[in-house]
Amino acid sequence: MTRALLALFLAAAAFSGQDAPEETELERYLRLAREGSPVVRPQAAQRLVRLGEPAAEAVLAASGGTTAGLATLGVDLVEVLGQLESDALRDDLWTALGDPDFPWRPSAARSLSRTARAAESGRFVALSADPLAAVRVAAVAGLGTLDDRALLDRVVPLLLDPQDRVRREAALLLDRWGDPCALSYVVEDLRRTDRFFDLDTGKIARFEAFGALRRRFGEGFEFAPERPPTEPENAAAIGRIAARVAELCEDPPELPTVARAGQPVAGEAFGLEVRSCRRGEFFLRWTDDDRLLVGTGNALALELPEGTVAGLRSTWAKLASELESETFWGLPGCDVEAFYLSAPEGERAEVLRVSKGPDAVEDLRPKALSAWSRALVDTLPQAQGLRASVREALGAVGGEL
Amino acid sequence: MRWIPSSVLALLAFVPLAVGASSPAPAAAVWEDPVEIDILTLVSVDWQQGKELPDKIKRLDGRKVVISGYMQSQFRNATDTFMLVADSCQCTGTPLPNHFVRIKLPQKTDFKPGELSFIGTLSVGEEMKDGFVDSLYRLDGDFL
Repeated sequence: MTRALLALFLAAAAFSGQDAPEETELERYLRLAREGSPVVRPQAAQRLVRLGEPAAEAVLAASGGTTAGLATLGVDLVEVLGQLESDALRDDLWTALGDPDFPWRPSAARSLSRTARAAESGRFVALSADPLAAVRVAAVAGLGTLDDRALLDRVVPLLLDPQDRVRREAALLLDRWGDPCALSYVVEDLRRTDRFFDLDTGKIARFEAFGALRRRFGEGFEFAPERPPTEPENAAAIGRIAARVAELCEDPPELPTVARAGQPVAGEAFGLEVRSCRRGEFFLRWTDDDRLLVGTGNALALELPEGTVAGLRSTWAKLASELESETFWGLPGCDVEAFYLSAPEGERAEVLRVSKGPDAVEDLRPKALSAWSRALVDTLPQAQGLRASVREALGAVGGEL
Repeated sequence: MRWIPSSVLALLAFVPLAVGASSPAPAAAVWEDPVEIDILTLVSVDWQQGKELPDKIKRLDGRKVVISGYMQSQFRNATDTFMLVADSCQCTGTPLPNHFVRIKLPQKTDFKPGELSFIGTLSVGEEMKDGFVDSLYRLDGDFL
């Protein structure tokens, strides 16, 4: 019996050895870019790109030339498809980008922007008004790749964008196109100390702005982005950077409120971050003194009726127990709702996150969080459509309220 | 890192690095202050495979550190190894090796969406696996 089993095993092994086709380099990279570990996928995708036309053909075959097929390739392949120089893939990427339900829109936009073509300038201009900031950043980068200075007037308004990454990308492009005064926007970001609950938005902005300025001037000016800008050494370094910009710009612009350095806000009670590919992004905070802060950085402050936040506290106290210990619902994706709850001094804010993956899921948001969302939305002013816009964005991510 | 009480860091400064139960007592105990490092400092490094890292980063190799960041959201099941990234948004695609710290814990943890802090020994340098760079920064440690 044992001999028979051994013979069967050896025969099976030999059979398997004969018939298992050896995986080609292209097949391996394609497989790993889709199914490898998170750290391997982007590297495999980049290696696939180096294989050129055969890789483009293989990817096209895998996607079937449809938006749904492109989505199944995964975010890491979409991120590099533009570099494959395939007209058909490029068309597919633009089609996917026009579909608000395509889960990898920022990656598709970056993919196209790195290899932007002159005939696409109008499309990139249109993309610079996209609801997603990551897509708008890619749009500006695409205009930079085109290097068509006739589009300067289309870039200038982006210095007023509510998202700092868009403003910085636009300022750096305008500098490259001969307007060094735009660098004032980037220098101002070095002065930021704002936060969004535990998220140190000011420090992230300092790091990004400093990296850009270091590349621009080829030196670091002894600025330390991880340290507060108010420390004497850093304040002096900002002075040196500003002086260098002043050498290039005789008439520095007066920065709009949205671009001025934000400061930390006391008394954050509740927060809501909504990012919807279809309906845009909102960053909202309710403070103990009944103010609503809209945006990050130098956020817009609106007065709420007295007692609004006390009422929210009472509502949350009733709903919190229904959520038990869960803090995350859904799958990773670009569409996100994050609910922030303040914590006692010295502790971190609690964050509850709902994330919509590639596929639509019914009732993604738990009932208690839907009730909480309604309570938050009901406190928003109806002026300028804020309440309706946030309600729609929430509806597009976790489901109708 | 306003939230770490200085008293906690002061206590951590006196944690012995390695004192084996069966080892003879060293003449002078080896103590090391944990260095609080900013994950943005690590992930802001311009990196290309095979390229030398800046000295200030290489000097962190083997040091006991405290570091804070966000669990990369692709790690949804209970795990003892995951990527720690700098931004909760994670809107810029899958991180490349220079964009995360690989955290190894002594026990499994569920995905946690907020900012988290860890203490442990940092190792720096390219670690390869199956022909790919598997990590550039690794922290063997635990939640702070």
